[in-house]
Amino acid sequence: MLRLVQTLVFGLLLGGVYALIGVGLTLIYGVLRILNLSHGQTLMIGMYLGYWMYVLWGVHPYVSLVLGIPIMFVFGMLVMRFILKPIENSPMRNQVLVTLGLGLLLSSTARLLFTSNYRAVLTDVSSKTAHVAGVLISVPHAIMFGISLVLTGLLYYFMTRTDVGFQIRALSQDREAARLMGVNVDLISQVAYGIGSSLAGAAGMLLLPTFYVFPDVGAPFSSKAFIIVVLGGMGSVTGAVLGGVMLAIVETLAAYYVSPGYQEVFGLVAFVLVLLFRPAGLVGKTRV
Amino acid sequence: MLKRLSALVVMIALCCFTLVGCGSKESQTIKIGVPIPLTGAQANFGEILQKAYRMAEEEINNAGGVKGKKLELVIVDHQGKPEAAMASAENMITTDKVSMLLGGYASSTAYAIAQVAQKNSMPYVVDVASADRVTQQGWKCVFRFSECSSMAMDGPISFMEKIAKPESIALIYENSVFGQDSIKIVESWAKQNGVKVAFSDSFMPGSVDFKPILSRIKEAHPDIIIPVAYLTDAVLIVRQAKELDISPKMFIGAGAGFVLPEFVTQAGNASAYVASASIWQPDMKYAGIPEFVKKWTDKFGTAPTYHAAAGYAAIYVAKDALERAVSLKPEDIANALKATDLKTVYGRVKFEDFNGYTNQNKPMGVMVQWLDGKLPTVWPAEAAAAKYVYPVPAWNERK
Repeated sequence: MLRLVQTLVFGLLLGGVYALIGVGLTLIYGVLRILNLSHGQTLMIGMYLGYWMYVLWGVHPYVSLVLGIPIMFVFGMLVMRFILKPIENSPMRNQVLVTLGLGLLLSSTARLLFTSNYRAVLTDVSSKTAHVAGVLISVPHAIMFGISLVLTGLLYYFMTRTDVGFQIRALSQDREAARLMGVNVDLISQVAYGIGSSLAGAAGMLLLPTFYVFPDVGAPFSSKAFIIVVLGGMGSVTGAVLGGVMLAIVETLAAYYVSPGYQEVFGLVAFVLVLLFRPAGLVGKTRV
Repeated sequence: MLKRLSALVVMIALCCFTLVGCGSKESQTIKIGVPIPLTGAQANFGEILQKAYRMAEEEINNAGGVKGKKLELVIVDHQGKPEAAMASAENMITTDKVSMLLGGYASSTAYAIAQVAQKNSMPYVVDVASADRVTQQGWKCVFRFSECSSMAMDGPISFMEKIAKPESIALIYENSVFGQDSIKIVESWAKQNGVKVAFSDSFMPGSVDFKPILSRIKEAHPDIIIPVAYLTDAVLIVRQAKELDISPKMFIGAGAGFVLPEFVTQAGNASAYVASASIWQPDMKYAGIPEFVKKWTDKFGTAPTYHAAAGYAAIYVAKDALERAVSLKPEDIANALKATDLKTVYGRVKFEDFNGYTNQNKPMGVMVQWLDGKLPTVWPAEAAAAKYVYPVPAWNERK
């Protein structure tokens, strides 16, 4: 029993950051109807940002979030304005190809600037653990989970209580109607993309104390984010949170009870099963 | 009359040779095709190898090249993907008209290249990949001068037999040819010697969280934990083992990630006392190592890894064979490789057939251990530069 609880705790804590990655992607999809294949690379940029702030100025990765989130927000707005806006009205597949290319551009630029060396940040909390009622809790993962929760909560508040949040949601419901109601579609699109990017960047900075960064670190997260979002329901923030936590728990359970070599298989099996019985995802509504 | 005639014949022959020489571009250079990963998760090691290859290439060409011709390395990125490795090897043979192949890096890509090489009867020198199967197929064109997995653990196995004498061991290995092969040899050794394998399971390379597998190992209470992993996973395994307070008598890595300088910088104090199998260390006594280490350190600012030494030596093995080959026909180069007996910075190189292996070199296996941020050879005694620490202090007993 204790083992099961322990495994669930490992999974849940990892799920926090998975959720954060998924929420960023689903927001971008919900508002802009763009499948962003460069999401993992955005996360990689966040990781490098945190890494350099730590190496150059000794800023702790958790503290660097304060500066990192606005930087990633501006980065996202610029990407939207200068890369995605010009192809707004072209077919879906072209937009997907552009984000794929953007991802390659980002990781190749990182390779050019920082080489392919693996870099890691060793902080005072990097390998600390706490014992709670016989259950081991990894301190950095718990902090990662806590901050993810706070950020998701803030996003929820922002989306449901503020004027800009209303506009973003209006845009995701009906682009043309929102435009007719006086929503500045271009600006709000940039804001939405900026938020999505800053969430991915934040996830990267949160992963930094326990993981490592190199130019291609993002690619697996891009595909993981995609699974999380489809699992939860395309465009649904609640769905992405559920999808992220579920994927992490399934992977961790499989790693403990079956074999870590097959953990991703079980994640994908869960993914297929959900899609079989709920084609629109856990909380998604089928769109026409 | 006869004299004049023979002079004429000689002149005509000379003209013919010069004409042929001018007409075909290949004869100006000798090309070696080198597919390695320069992008993707293994790019870091591809870059190290590339530096080593270029260093040897430059030295050889400055010293007059091979057979009076310039040596040219055709280095192509295969992204760490077997299918891309196959395609680039085929392309090198048909389009670039290389004389031989070399490199490949990881076992899965080297195995793919080896298949292409054998199919096209193109000599191929494997320099880093260690999976047994690469030289177990009876392929006459594939030569490996690095160790294969079954030898890679020679150092740790003799250490366990003579010194550690563990009752139980735990094995954790990446889900790849390299991981499976390395573990097979330890498992069969354990079986023959009555050592209990308390735990054995694989993991996906690139995992974020090793705590589920590590907590199972903790429950098994093994004397020695043997992880087989590349750098990033190796770092996370020891860091998370420290987090979970897993204190075996020793961690013995299977080379790869555990012997790199980054291991100590990224794993921090979790790296202390971790031992590993190794084939090459900068403190070894092979001729040429001090000069090589100095040149490398001066040029790149870091100590060379075993990849660097292997890559550098591989080019010299190729050069030596090309020099001795009767012609640049693939079969002549293969024959020359087969007759290799060369002292390199990676030890003595001889390609032999034994125990089901074809064209396999036998480098000496040693064990190293991280002590005060350095990685001296600690076993066998005759090669040791420092005394091993066993059993290692538990996490909570350390400063």
